[in-house]
Amino acid sequence: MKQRSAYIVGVAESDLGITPQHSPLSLQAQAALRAIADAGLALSDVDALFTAGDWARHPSASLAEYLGIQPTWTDTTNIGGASFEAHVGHAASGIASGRFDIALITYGSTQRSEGSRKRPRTVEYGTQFDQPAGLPVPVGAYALAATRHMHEYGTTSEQLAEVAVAAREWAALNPAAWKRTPITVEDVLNSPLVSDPLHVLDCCLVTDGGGALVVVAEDRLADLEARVPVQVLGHAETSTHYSISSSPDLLNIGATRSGAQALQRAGVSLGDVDVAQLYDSFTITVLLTLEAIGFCRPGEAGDFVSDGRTRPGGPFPLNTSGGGLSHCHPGMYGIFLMIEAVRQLRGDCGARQVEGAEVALVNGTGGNLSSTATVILARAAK
Amino acid sequence: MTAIVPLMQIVDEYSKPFWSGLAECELRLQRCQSCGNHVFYPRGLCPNCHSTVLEWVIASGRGVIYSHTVVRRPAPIFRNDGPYVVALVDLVEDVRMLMRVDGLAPESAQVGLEVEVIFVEVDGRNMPRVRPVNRETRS
Repeated sequence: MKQRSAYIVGVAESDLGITPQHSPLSLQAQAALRAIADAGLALSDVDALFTAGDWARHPSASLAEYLGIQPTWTDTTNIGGASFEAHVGHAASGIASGRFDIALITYGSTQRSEGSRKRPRTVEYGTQFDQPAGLPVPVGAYALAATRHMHEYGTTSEQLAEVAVAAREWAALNPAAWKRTPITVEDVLNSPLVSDPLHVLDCCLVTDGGGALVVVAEDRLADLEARVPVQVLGHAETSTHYSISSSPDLLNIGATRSGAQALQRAGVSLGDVDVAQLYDSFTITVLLTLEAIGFCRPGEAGDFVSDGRTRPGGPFPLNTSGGGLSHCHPGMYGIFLMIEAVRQLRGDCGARQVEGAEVALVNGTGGNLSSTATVILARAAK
Repeated sequence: MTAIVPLMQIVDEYSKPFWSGLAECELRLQRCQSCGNHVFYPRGLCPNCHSTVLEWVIASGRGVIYSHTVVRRPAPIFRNDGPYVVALVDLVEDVRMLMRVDGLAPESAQVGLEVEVIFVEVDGRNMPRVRPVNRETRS
C-alpha cells in the first residue's frame, strides 16, 4: 500500500517582536487562525495538534481547549528549537500511516515581555552536576563548542561574525525582521563578549512571537485551493545528549545523521538543495551544521561562509528571513525556519526571493547542540 | 563565598555518594564493573553498556582542559563575581566534567592545559573546581 505524502499548505507568523498584550496561547491562536486561513481550511478540520513549550503542564490539551478543537492525535515533543522540524516529521509519519489527514503545528512565546530568560533555570538531575561550574546556558555551551572549533580548525572570530553579517543582510530584505540595520564584521567583534568567544552579535535575538503550519495528506489537496503545495519529501531527527558536558562528540552534531537520513529518504542530494534554513541560535551553530550536513567538510565552514557566499546574491542562500540572529527569536526558532522555507518554495519572498527555488533543506538544532531534526521540502509540481 | 541563588541537589541513591564525597574532599566517580568505563554523572546504569553493576571509586583529580570559555555575564549562582573561566575538563579516568577554573587568568586559558581538582566552599558546602597544575600558570 503506497504511503500518503504530506504537504504543507498553510503557514503564518503571529505578531512578533515585543508583544506584552499577548500570552503564549493567544500568539498560537493568532498564528493558527492565519495559517488555517492561508490553507483555506477551518480550525474544526484539524485532527492532529502539535506544539511545544513550557507554558503549560499539558501543552497540547491546554492549547486544544483554548482553540476549541478535539484532536485525536497530539504531540508535544520538545527538543528545543528543533521541535517544530520534528513535529513536521511526526505529522508526515502520521499522515503516511493514515491516522489523520490534517495537522496543525503551533508555537508561541512571550519570553521577552516576561523577562523569563533572566530567571534561573530549574535544576534537573543531570544538570545539578554542572551547576557548580556556573556556566550560563545555552550560550556558554555554544561558546565551548566555538572555542574547540577554533582550536581544532583555526576558525576565527571574523569567520563567526560573517554569519551574523549575512543574516542581517537578509533581514534588511524582510519587512517582518526585528533587526534590519546592516552590521559589519567589526561591529560584531566590537559588541560586548558574553561568553568567550561569543559576542552579543554572535547570539540570537530575544523576542516574543509565534507561528503555525498546516500539514495535510495528499488526497486533501484537490479540495483546497493551495497555490503551491509544498511536499514534505523526507525527514529525520536525532538526540545525542542534553548537557554539553555529555556531548559524545562536541563538534560533530547530530545533524550528521539526521541530515543524511532526511536526504536519503527524500531521494535528493545536497546539490539539489536550492535554499537552506539552518538553525542559527549562535553563529557557531551555523558553522557546525554546514559541516554536519556536508555542505562543506569538517573544519571548512569558516571559509565556506566567507566572501559573502551566504549573503543575498551569493551562491549559497542561507537563512533568508534573517534567522534567529536578525528576524526574531522567541526561544525556539524552528517554526520560522519552516515558514520561510515554504515561502521561498512558493515564490512569495519578494526582495529576498531565491530565484527558481524548488528544493529546501531545513535543519533545527535544539538544547545545547543536543538534538537535531532535518526536513527536506519540495515545491509540488502542479 | 556565598552564592546568590542556592545550589540545588537532587539526591537519590546514585547521586548521594558523589555529594557526600565532596564534603570529605573526595571526587567520587562510578565505575562500571561490566565494561570498565568510569561513569559521570552518577546514575543507575552504565550509559556505555547499560549494565547496572557499578562501583564507586575516588578520582585521581587530574585532568586536561578540552575546551574553555570566559563567562562575562555570571550565572545567577555567582551574580557578584567578575569574569571567570569555565572549562570542559577531561579527567584521566576518561570522563568529562564541566568545571570552573580557579587561579587562571582568562587570557591564559588554553586547550590542553593540565589541571587538578580542588574543593571550594560555596554556601557552606564543598564544590569541585580545577586549577592549573603548573604553579607558574596560576594567577
